[in-house]
Amino acid sequence: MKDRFPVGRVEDFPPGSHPIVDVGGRSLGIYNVDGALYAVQNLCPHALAPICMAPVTGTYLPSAPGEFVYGLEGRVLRCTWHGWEYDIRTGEALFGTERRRLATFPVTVEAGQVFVTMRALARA
Amino acid sequence: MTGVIDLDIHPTVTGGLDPLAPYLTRAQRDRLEFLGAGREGGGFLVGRAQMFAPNRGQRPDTVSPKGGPPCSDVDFVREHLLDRCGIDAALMIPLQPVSAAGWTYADEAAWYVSAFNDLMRDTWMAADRRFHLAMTVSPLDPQLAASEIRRFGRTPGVLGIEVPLINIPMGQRHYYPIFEAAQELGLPIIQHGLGGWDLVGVTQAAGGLPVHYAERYTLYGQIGQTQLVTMLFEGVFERFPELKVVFVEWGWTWLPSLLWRADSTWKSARIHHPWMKKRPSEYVRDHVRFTTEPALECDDPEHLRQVVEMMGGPELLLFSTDYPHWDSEEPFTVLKGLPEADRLRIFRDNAVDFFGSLLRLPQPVG
Repeated sequence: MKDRFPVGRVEDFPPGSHPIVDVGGRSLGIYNVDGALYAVQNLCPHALAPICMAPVTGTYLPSAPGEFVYGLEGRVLRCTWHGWEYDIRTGEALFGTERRRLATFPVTVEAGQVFVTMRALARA
Repeated sequence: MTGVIDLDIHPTVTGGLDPLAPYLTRAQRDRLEFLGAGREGGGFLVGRAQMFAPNRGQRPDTVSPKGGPPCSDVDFVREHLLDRCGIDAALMIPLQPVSAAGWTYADEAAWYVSAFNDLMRDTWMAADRRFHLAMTVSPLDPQLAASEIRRFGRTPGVLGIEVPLINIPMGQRHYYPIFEAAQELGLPIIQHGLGGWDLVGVTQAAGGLPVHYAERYTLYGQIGQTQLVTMLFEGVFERFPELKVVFVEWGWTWLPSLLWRADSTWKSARIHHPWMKKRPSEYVRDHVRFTTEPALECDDPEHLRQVVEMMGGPELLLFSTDYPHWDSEEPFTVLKGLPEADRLRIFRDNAVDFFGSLLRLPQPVG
């Protein structure tokens, strides 16, 4: 069963911010990307690294040999261990590099209160 | 004096890459910044592929709350690595003394590694019995290295001898004084090469110097393969029948093809190596072990089990994390393609069998 968990007031998550919150037995990063809020589980599916420690960044887009084209600024999480890259908005690995994806959860705002909808995990 | 023409002056631009920004794309500028071109007094892009590992080579979660570089705070490492991952014994291979192999000064390198060994004994090893040490010797003067082994090697908690590589393959007689002392004290050689490739004097990859980190990382095993194959065919394990060697972080999934080729070549070229009484793969089984990190990640986990079977079985593998480096692996997720009994053997039993009473375990071995 999924529940709605309050994680703070909307003003707690200004553009560019990415605090880590503990809620419902999970550690989540809350990201404000261009005014929209996203909730990402703080766990890389590869080796279970705390991926939300990573800075929010952009990356080099697929390009011709010898060319560097920067893009996706503010939308990319690059894991602090093995460097796997994900799109914060979808949780998907970038450019088809990997099938595994970050766990992401719907975020809603009601009367200035921010909620994350997800299944709670029992803490061991 | 008037009318002089000077053909050699050197102007300097200050402000890092800022003054060049109007002439570069954003992507070009970021890339140059990342490679260090903006450093004060810099402007020289050196092909140091080693510097540009993912995340600059280090895991940020390994920085202690007190700050400082990763893996520099004994108390934090006890908690963050040993306690959290359930580790009873960890082999420390400090890379600062390993880098002394790249010096050109043999005496100074010997002083430095010797002081480093003493320091580790009095700090990390004194703080927690779980910390064991690969004592470092400098390969620049093998006689001095042998003296250091005899001076320090009986220190409780020393599990082996890290011999950094220079451009002489490990099978050759330059190293024999080191092997002799190692065998005398019953200490394995720990073969963890420094990345090299960008340091004076250290081992280079075959075939030319790559530019990118990914090239270096992918090809890394070839340096280790050179060490292993030369030790086998030069007869090191016949000259030093009690000698044991651990190859750390060279990879191991390449072993099946390497050993097949070595075994079949031995049959054809045995007359040049009459001292070899058994197949190369049998010397490996009897004398050599490999640490797991970086473990192969294949799309089909069954392939991992097959590789382990083809290389000679899980007995050849010893678990390692490579903490705090970017590519480190923790016991929770690694080697999932193997049967659980094999994983447990790799996580503990193989090391107990190999190192025996050198290990300082809660329940002493044997």
